[in-house]
Amino acid sequence: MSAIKPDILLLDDDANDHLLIREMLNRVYGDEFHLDWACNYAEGEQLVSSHHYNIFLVDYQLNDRFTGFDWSNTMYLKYKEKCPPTILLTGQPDAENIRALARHALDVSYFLAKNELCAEKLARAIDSTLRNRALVKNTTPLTSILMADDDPDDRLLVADAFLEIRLENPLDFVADGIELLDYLHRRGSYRQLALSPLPGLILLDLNMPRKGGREVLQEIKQDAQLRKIPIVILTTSGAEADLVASYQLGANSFIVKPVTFDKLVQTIRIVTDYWLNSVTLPSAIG
Amino acid sequence: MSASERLTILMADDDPDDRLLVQDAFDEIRLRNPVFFVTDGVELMDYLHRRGNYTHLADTALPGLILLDLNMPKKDGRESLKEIKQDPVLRTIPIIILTTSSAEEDILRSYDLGTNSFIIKPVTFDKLVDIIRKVTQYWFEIVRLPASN
Repeated sequence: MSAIKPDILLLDDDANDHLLIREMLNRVYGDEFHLDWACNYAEGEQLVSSHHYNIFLVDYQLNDRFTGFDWSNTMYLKYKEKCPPTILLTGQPDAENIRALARHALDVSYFLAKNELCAEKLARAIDSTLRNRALVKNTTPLTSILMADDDPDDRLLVADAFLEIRLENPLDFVADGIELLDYLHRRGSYRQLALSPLPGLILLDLNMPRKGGREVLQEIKQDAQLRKIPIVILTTSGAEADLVASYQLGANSFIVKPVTFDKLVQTIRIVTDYWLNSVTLPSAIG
Repeated sequence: MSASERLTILMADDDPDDRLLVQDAFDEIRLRNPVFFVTDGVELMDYLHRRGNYTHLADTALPGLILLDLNMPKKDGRESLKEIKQDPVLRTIPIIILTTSSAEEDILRSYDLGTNSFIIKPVTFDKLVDIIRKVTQYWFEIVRLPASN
């Protein structure tokens, strides 16, 4: 039995699996555990934003546009050293698959085969994970980067590029102009960020629904609090009109999204090196 | 020459040693772009407005990038920055404040006034070359500049 009470978020689209897992945990821990269940990505994000878990138990074959794996990586990118470790449940436990997953896993402590799962195996994995988890170090928070882009593929590609260059800085995403403004103003679904520092850099796509990049760029650059944050337009449009308008409205730079992944990695490498290592950011102050 | 190699880099700095060091850094990285220097804020604005001593530049393209020191006589970098970013034609030119000042006030105020970046002048020549290399790589190879189209 672990000395630390497991505080688990289960991300699994299957209600039966949820019940089975809850029963298993009951058998081993009695009442000394907490389990929340999210059946999809969005629910998971919502729960994570309001409660601090110490373990993610994630179904790889999540029936969603994202796999449980993507979710785990995204959480890690977002929360970095504050992110709980993940125990990944996979229905396909062959060695080849596991090795492939392991190459990309950021913080997965165990892979468990669903069809071989029993209370003892689950508890062993949980206890060992909690025991091995180092205490959170008290480090200076790294500048965070915020990306606003409505295309989930583009968001994932940029996330992958960040992984490729092994950047430690937290990377966060919003999907449109309204979310971006809510995020920056720490309101609506982003109220809980009120005590966190603002992002040090914003990557902004121009073509987004609800509120487009141009409109939100103008709003941000006219806001006394937010205007200092450097904004790098990162967009597919290379149109002259967009280019000039962006600089007119105060964008700090304008970059056309590269078409290949290699070029994207190179771009992200140079962009982050410039803004994080060469430039002095306003966020570096107080 | 590629499109970005034709763009002029304009540097405004009153210190002749600093101007020389940056020129040396450009030479070190074999920069092909033309570089022009002005020594104070009044000259800077005259150059950009193609007036005073610079009327002969009336039909030539504006610089693609400005490196701007904050502390200059006659008109300092802060005032120049403000004027440039309020001018409808000049405001699209990316400005990099390149200064010895690491004062919080200067950093925050510069971004507030719309500087595109703020860089503290490195103390060693090697580090200066490194910064200059990164600056030119970022602005001429990665970023799309309004002047380049």
